[in-house]
Amino acid sequence: MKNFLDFVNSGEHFSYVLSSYFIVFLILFLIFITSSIKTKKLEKEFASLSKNEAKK
Amino acid sequence: MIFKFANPLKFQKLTDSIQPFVSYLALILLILGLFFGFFMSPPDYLQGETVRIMYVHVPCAWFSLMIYSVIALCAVFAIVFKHTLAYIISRACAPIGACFTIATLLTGSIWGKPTWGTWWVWDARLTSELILLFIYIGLMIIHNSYDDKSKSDRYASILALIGVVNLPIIKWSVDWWNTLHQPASISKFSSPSIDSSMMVPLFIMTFSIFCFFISILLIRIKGEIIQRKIDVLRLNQLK
Repeated sequence: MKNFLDFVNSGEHFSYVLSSYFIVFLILFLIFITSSIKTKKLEKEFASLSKNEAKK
Repeated sequence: MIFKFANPLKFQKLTDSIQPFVSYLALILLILGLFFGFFMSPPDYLQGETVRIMYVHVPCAWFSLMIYSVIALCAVFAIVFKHTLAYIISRACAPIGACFTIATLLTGSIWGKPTWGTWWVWDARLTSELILLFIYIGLMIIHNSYDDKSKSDRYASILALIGVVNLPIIKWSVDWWNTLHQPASISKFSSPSIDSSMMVPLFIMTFSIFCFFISILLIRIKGEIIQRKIDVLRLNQLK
């Protein structure tokens, strides 16, 4: 706990560390979400195309 | 075993079952890594509290190189064996690798300001990492430049193999040239130059980010396989 309190009270260094973590997690989150959304869309498109194909 | 799962459809079945498990594991390791990184790890005697940036910067830098190695390996497999899955993995890896490289450059820059007094220097390590980002962007541009996927995959594989030259430059630039960037702290596992109180959070964060990488990679591979199925269906409809 002492290490964490020292870090919180470290002034300028606190913002540098926090912004680094924020950037990394934001980038990871964005690529995870965009990849998931894109794959879900493709799954739906494939399902509808397969249905059309089956009807023929 | 490897060739059994080299079939894209069998591979997709395997990825569907392990992807959620890997995602949850990444989250658990992330919470554990943050706990060790902020509560258990002491400040560095020289760099103070900014040393905590290492727990995200170093894994991102390692993965920016590792992902490129995977792409290069896939390029060899793709060119030699003409295997579709190698092309698919290569395509899925490129944007993830670019993201890790951007994260490495940004966190390195933020770390550089309080440590070196500047956001950026045209130092060998930093410049070669920036070149790696350009190679990743080049690969993504080639992947999306042609309607004929086999053509774009082939050209991207050639670029990936040319770009391999940059990997040893990034790795050993700090030893070959006089740079602001510090040399590797963990070049040998038997005698690392960092304390175990800092090594534990570093490795937990590395495994967490590795699990995130695998999870995102599996999602993207699935997307690529479906995209190729859609292309085949569309082609059949046109005939």
